[in-house]
Amino acid sequence: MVHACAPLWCKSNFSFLEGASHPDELIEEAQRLGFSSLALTDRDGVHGVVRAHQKALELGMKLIVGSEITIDDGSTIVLLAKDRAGYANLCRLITRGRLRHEKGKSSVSWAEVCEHAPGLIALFGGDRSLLLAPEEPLLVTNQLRDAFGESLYALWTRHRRAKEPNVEALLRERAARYELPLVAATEILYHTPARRPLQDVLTCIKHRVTLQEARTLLKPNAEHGLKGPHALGALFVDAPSALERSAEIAALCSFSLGDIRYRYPSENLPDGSTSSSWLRSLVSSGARKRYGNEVSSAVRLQLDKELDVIDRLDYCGYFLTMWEIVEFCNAQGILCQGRGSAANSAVCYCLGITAIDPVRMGLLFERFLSIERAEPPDIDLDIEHERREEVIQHVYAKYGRTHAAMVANVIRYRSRSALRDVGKALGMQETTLDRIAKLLSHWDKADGETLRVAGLDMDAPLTRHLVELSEEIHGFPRHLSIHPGGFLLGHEPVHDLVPIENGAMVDRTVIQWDKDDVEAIGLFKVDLLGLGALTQLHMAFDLLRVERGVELSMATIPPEDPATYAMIQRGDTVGVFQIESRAQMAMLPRLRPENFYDLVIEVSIVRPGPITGGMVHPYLRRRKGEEEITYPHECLIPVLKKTLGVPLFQEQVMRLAVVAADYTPGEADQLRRDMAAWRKSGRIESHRERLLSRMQKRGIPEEFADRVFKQILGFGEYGFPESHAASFALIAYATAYLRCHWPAIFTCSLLNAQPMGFYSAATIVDDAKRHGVIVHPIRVHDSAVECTLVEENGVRMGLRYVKGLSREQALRIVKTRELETFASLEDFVERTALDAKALSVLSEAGAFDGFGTARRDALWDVRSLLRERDTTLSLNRLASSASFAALLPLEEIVWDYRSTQHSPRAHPLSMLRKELRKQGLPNAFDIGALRHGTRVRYAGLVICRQRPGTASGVTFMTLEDETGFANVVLWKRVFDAQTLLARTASFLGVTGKIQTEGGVVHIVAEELWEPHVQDAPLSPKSRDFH
Amino acid sequence: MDRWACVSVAELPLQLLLRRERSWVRESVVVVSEDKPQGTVLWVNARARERGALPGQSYALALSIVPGLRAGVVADVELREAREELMIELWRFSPRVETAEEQGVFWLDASGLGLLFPKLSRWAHELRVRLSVCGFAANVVVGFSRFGTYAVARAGRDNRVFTSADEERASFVGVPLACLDIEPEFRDVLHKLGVHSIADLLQLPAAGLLQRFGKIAHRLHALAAGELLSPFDPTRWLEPLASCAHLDDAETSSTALLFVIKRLLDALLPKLVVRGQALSALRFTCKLDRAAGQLGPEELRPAVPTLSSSELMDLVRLRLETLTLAAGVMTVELDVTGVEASAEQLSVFVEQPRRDLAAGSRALSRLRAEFGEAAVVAAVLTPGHLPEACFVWKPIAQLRLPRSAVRVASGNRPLVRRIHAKPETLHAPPRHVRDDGWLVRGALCGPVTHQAGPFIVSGGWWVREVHRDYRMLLTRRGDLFWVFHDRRRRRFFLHGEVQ
Repeated sequence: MVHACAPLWCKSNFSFLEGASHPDELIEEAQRLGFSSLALTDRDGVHGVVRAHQKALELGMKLIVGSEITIDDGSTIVLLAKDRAGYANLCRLITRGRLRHEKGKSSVSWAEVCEHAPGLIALFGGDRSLLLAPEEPLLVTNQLRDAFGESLYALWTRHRRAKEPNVEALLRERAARYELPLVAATEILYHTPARRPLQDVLTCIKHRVTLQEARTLLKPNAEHGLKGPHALGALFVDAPSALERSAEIAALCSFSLGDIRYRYPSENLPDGSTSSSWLRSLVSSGARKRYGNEVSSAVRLQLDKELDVIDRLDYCGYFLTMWEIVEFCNAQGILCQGRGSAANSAVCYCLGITAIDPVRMGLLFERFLSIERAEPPDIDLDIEHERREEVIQHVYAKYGRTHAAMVANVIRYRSRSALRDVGKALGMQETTLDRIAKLLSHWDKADGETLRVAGLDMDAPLTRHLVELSEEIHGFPRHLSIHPGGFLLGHEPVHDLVPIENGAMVDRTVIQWDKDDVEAIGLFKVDLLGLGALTQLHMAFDLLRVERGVELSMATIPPEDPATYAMIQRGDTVGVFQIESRAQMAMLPRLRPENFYDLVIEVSIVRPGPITGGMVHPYLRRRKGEEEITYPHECLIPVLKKTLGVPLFQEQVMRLAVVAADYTPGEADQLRRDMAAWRKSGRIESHRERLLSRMQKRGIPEEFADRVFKQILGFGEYGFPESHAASFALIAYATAYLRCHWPAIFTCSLLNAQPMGFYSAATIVDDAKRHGVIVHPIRVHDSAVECTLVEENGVRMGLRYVKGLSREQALRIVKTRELETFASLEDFVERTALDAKALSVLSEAGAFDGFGTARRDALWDVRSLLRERDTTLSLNRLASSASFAALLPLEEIVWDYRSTQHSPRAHPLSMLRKELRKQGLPNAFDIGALRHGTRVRYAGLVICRQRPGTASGVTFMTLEDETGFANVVLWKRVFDAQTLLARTASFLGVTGKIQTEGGVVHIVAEELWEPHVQDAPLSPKSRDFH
Repeated sequence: MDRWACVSVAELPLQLLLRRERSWVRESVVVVSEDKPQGTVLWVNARARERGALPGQSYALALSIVPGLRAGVVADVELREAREELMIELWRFSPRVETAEEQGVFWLDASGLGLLFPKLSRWAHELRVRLSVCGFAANVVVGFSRFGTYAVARAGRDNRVFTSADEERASFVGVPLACLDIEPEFRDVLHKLGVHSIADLLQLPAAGLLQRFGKIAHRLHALAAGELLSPFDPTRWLEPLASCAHLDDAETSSTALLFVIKRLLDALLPKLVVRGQALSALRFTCKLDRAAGQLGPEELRPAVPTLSSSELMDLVRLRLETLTLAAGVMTVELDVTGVEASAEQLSVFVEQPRRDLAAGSRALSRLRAEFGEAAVVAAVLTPGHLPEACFVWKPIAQLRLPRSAVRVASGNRPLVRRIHAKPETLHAPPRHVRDDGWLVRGALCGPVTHQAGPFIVSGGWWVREVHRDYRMLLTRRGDLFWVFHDRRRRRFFLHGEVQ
């Protein structure tokens, strides 16, 4: 007989390392088995409910939200939300349990459970329940009965274990005594018994044991799968009423996540103002600041339109919050700038959130907000990276920990982590697993071929288990981390919406949902992101003001400066934001940006979207006038005119879908979302047919339509909207301007903002020297902690660059020196009280040269001085003195690199140039002057290796010598043939042919070799991006 | 001592790893500190080094540089055993052998070997060959000082025999410091100071070194300068306690063999007494006539270490009685192991328990002697789901007094489930219920009247999958049977009975 029943105790894989099915798999299977509702009760959390809710909505199922709560005595109880109040209580209870523990743990007291009882149903039972404890749970049961009343049930579970008859007898006896109605259920850990092996493996991972060692940590059988009503009826054949009670309970639970009504927090408003009027007033005054008193009608019209949309969607509070954060940054002198689609908004521009004038740029506001989509606005605010934490703590302080929490980021199993953890559980050697993992790229799955190459026997059962289980666990959540900058703010306490827990970082509290969940439920997120370039700009502006008396800011940098564009056109952009990479540098002389909009295009064009879509070359040809500017259809002229008929930006693709393929704006926005998630969801394929057929119907050539679709896929990888590119181009221009006109200040600020960008300190220093900046070495007499400006065009390297010297030690040196200049090495050792390691690294760095002590002598002397200082003994230094050979010039450079990762003296290859010349090897400058097709041999230090996914296995290398850079292209064949040299050599020789195109020179490598020189130079570690 | 010899087995852990994993000989191999990606690379073979792997890197880093890099851990116990193995071999060439703290380094007294080896180079060569046969690549340097021979041995791969102390000195001062087992930080600082060889080191003032780098650095300097004499400290040679009897005629009588063994044993026991030891184990091997192979080695352990010949011979007798000789015995070999003797006499002053544990242990020892080592075991509970995985049989090394159990009131005795050592195959229940029902154990017990279950135990999918549906069956006569249905084998088994 089929009973009306519902699974009320289901744990998904968001009960981390316990449940072995995704929430949506549980929902799908429940629906297939004929259930109309299912309760998701993950351990101490509701991490998976949004995904389950979406799937349940799709399938017409009812999702009951609940959680298995851990009590501080080690027992558990299952709670289900009956209504909205119950859900809020559940979230509060979990929050309380989570916040008192470090990340990943939770516990509450029985009193707290009772305190949060309203609106909740309690299922008291299960393996770890107090109801089945040997001691009589009289006190707790009475407390629960008083708090939950009729909503307290005794949970009767059955998993066909031998000990169950005794346990059931005890349960029935106690349930009768405490007058608790019995409800029958099984503990669901997976949607199908086929997942049992995976559940065993997850248990092993959780307890850090192998399957052989796990023994009774594993479940004794596979009875934790979802059973259909018929099977449940058979299991509880002796207790049909207890089973039917589960359906009654399900009926009592009316709460749905759709019931959540979210209100954005109201800002403190001036008396008599509403959010709307206050926003209008701020925008109005902002407009006057931006445009002067004469605000054009176009701007006014745009602002009115935007404010109207914001008002109708009731988003004023959100904009006021962003404005408040920007005001805070301004007040604290923290540089910030909005990025992303917010730059499409004139309101954001007038509020100072973004720096791009969308009216002047002709940007599309609808890309940011529209009545039709009514989706939450998404403003990403870039903040200088060293001061972002101040802003984050300000948000916490302003809204309180109850009303503000950071959004989570779910860390999932990828191929390598899956292979490692599953392999360990299977008892395989960890070094073997590491070897296999290294053969996989980030997205690869461990297939038979990879394992065979790694030396595993594919016929062995263990290997088969490894492959199958690694594939199954792929995508499973492993743990929560923190989103880089996403905040959830709420008018009501956030812990009424979703539980809050501690992050791994100090002073960070995190909600249990990630950005997709937040978006799906329609909550607002504020993104505060760190950007090193803003830190650098801030430092540069400060240096200009203090050292040169020049006031400059993002707003006052002279626009469209020809000298700056001339520098950019040469590809001379080491350290310039966004356009410093090897690929960007190679593009600059071809695209030759002449104005700001060219820079916007430059920023966008070297991206997978345009590259895979084959848009780059047509654009360059049209720009040079080598190809006629045509449009696939006249309806596309307004969309593509700005980019010469070639789509380069995300907005263009969306508008193209609207204009050429009859997408509604809403559908186009869905296309944008599917673009971003196409690898994960595979939903993008549904657009293919639709786009292609509709475009062809309008007479657009198939080849163009296909190219557009490829570009859409590329955008999924990483594509820029125009507004975003414009925001970045602004920072790129600012940094380029500083590099062009204030090279010493640019270098100093860039060195002080490290780590950031593409290049190491050594490359930055050498590049600066080539541009006339005098770089002074580190001296304990003169160096500050950071790099400082000296004289007209010089930079003194800071103590921060001494490897092994802590910031605290560097500060101590500076403070001690401020009291009195160091008279001698002895005085320095005595007064700074530095330890042996610090003194040694300073000796090696040559920081004591000012005392007239050579490095080796200093290294010998400091040990003796240290001993004298520490023992207060006067030692016979004469008897223990020794003389050491002076360092050779090349040795000095090697010591510089070893101790400071750079050398202000000279480039390592400058010392070898004579020897290299004798071997007939040119320098990078000579290479640049060679003709196309010339065969050449060259040797340089490898500073970067890059193998973009869009380059079909081609590897690009940048080699450096004392005169500049040489670009090397390695075809896959050459790379594979000489993989060891290609992957590991720091000083590399290349034989190949010169390829010159549009002023860009590459060596197309035919052979790699190890240069033979007397002393191999040291080089900084190359930056490799595979 | 006028002649020192230093034997250097370079990269001993790596040699041991390659001896264990012979198929890796042509591959890039490293020894790591632990079997984890973060494990530190300790030793690197030439092929791996050529490709960029270096000691001190993590395995993960080394692997990223050398794809396919093989790695293994060499445990301390493995190194200890190797050192013992090497010592035994070295004792063949000199009675006085000293082991250095540094792995793979030994000093031998090479004095007075003239009668056996006219030339020391010959001696060194044979020693090297002998170690090579044992699977170790080593070199031998014969000279006049501890430090000189050591330095040259570590620096090279070939044998050297110095004819004068001056020649030795001239050779070792040029040895790079990188070849010596010096504390890495000290070596690095010396390198930075431009001090690369022993000669460079000797240029530095000894007092300066002491002041800056401490006693170890100073000691190194003094050793190199010949200012510090470090006396030879050989490891004591403990002759194996073994004896052998070659019989004129093939002996088939176990009684006669018993007396042969007794004669051998009686000769060995006094030697144990001299060492202050008592016998903890003896092993004997009988080599048979007509190439029929050998019997044994048979190992016997008394209940407690003893020097009682009669007690030991009693055990030998019991074991001999169980053996069948395929042919007559031509040779009997006997060796014994001793442990420090304990003061058993003290037990006189201790209150004796009512149960004589010593007597019990002796009885068990006799059982082991007669039925083999695995004859005396006890069940130890272990966590597990399958009934047979819930306990293991472990040999009893020492008898213990039983703990007092809770007494059960008479008439309320608990049910005890007796588990069959091997489940008994049953006939399946009839598909269609007949009048006589399921006769699990024949008509005498009657048909099954009640059953409880199934209770499922399944798992072990990663090795050999098991799926059993257990049931309790009550027969008409009142027997309670514990049966299971094995889903994979599709059969019923009786696993136990409840009494």
